[in-house]
Amino acid sequence: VKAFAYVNPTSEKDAVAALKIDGVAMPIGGGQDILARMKDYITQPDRIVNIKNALDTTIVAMPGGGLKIGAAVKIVDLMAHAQVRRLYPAITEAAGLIGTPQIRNQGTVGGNVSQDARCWYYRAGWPCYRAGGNICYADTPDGRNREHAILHAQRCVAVNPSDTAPALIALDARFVLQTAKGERVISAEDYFVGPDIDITRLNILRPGDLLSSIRIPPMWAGARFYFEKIRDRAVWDFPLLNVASAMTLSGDRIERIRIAVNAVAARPLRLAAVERAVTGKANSAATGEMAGNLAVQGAVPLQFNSYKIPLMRNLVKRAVAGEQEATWTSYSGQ
Amino acid sequence: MWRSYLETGAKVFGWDKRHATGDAQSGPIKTGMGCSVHQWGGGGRGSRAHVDIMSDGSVVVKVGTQDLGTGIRTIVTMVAAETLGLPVSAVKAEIGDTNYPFSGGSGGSTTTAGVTPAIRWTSGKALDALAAKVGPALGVDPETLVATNGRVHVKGTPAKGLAWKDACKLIGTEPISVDGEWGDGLSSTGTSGVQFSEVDVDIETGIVKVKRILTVQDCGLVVDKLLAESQIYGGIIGSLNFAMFEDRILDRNTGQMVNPNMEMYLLAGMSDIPKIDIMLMNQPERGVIGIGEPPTVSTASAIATAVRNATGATIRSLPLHPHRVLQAIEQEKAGGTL
Repeated sequence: VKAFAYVNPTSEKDAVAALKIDGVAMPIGGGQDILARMKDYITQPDRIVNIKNALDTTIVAMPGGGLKIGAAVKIVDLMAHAQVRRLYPAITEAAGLIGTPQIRNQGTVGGNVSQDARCWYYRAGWPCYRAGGNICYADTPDGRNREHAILHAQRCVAVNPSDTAPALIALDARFVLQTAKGERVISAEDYFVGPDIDITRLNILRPGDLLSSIRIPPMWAGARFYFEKIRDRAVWDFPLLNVASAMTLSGDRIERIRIAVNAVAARPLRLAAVERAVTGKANSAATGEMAGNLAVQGAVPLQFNSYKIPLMRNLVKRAVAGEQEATWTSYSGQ
Repeated sequence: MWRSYLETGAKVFGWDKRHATGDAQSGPIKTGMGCSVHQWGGGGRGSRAHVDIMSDGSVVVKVGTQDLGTGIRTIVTMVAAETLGLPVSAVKAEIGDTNYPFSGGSGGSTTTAGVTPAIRWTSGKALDALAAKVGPALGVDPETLVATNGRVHVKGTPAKGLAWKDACKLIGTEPISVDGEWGDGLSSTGTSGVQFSEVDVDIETGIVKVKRILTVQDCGLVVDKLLAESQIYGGIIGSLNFAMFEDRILDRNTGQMVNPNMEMYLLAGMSDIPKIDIMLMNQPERGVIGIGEPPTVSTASAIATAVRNATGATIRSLPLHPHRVLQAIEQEKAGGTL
């Protein structure tokens, strides 16, 4: 690892200032992503800025309802928070499916939504588009791309691996950013960017910017939620695909719905067309089928990831139809 | 042995509850059962050993084998202790050094069958040497002496003898120091087993969960039940990884492995391990054979056939990652995979 300076600011303002240097400065929360990237020589910062003493580490109720989650809140504390569990169990569930207990003890909410791509070419230091080169190794005719994008790929086919991101988008969360120009509040969807905007980053943060907190609006508190993550193993895997939805019903009709998926594109995708199509429809299996089919329209598989199309179709179907997640009744391990 | 093992295992496993291929139950979770049989050589030969008995009663066994975590150190100690009529704690095994008597490699499930006969023969020779000292002191023919329960005594008459420590006092200043080697008659080759598995498959996501595995397995004489079963657990888990997770993925353009780390090269975690039941068939008349690899042979096919029984889709390559299973199910729906 290249030598670097370590700075430990105690306020948001100092943290933003500490990130402003001539060279590469990077914020560190739990360090679960960035330390691995440094050890693999993917990122070689000149300065590491610890944000755990600078950013908010609390979860508090907002005056008009809803919750404010500090970016430095640990995943394990998010999982254990009673009010989050009561109002927005989709967040609790998403947080509980992240990595391992060790990673959840260490990792932060801000870090989970801001983590870098897991593409195995990129992570192994291949000089690809995302790394500043001029080729995508995963998108060559023989490239190995079982975990890669089926939607909105442009040169780079890496996907966003966050589990909490789709849940936060489904809840219409607001992300509060601290920048050199002051505070900015944006919607969760707008926090994430695809390769068409910037091929080297997965989120909107420019060097020197910080995500300081996340606000969950009261609108979806106590709604009907669905979250499901598909991965190879029962634990310690990034998602092959995950889905989150929030829904309110009026009788058996879908009154309002928000739905998002991740690991299908470079950014977690809110499925606005699906939301529009199913609003007002019966909360039934047929509506779920329709939603699933609509969700995968325009999907373009690579050589080894065509399974993501039926997978996304089926998960969106479950998320909309409100079916209980597949129950493994007889599975001895649970 | 397959015929009787299949019958025994099927009864215990509940094979009669297996449905025809393709679980007809509604909902995305399908259940299926599969079965597979295997055989393996095992056996082994050629090991040498050295046994010292000191006048203070201590026993040291030396053999050049090595313990890869399979428990051969325990087995060496046990065989020597049983031969000398001592508790395991009274024998010290020294292994894993090229200065010790030659022993074969730890591979091919040959260690136990290669090593234990040498320990048995050599410990027996050491006991004979001790008996030669004890016999005259007791005024009996050394041939009539045996060692049991920490005593060296006339066969059938435990009272007519000496406690091990007292017997060893007769050794004098120069310890009994005996070399010996593997001999025919205490071991053989050829193991067989059958395995059953039950899985749940989510046909909408391709996720396979192995619920339980039952194996009926023989390995000749079971030297130690705990260690033999432990080897079987290990073998089945190894093969479950082969069936479900392990995959060396190579980039076709450069030949480089794209998943060369423990994040991307998958191995089962605790929660991926099913209930594993073992029916260990003891066959003392066949001698020692070996149990390391035999149980790894059929687990993968038992799981894959269970997935086929659950879903109706035939999957012709491993591992059974969700993407492969889901793709096979989709192909089956679209008209079959041939």
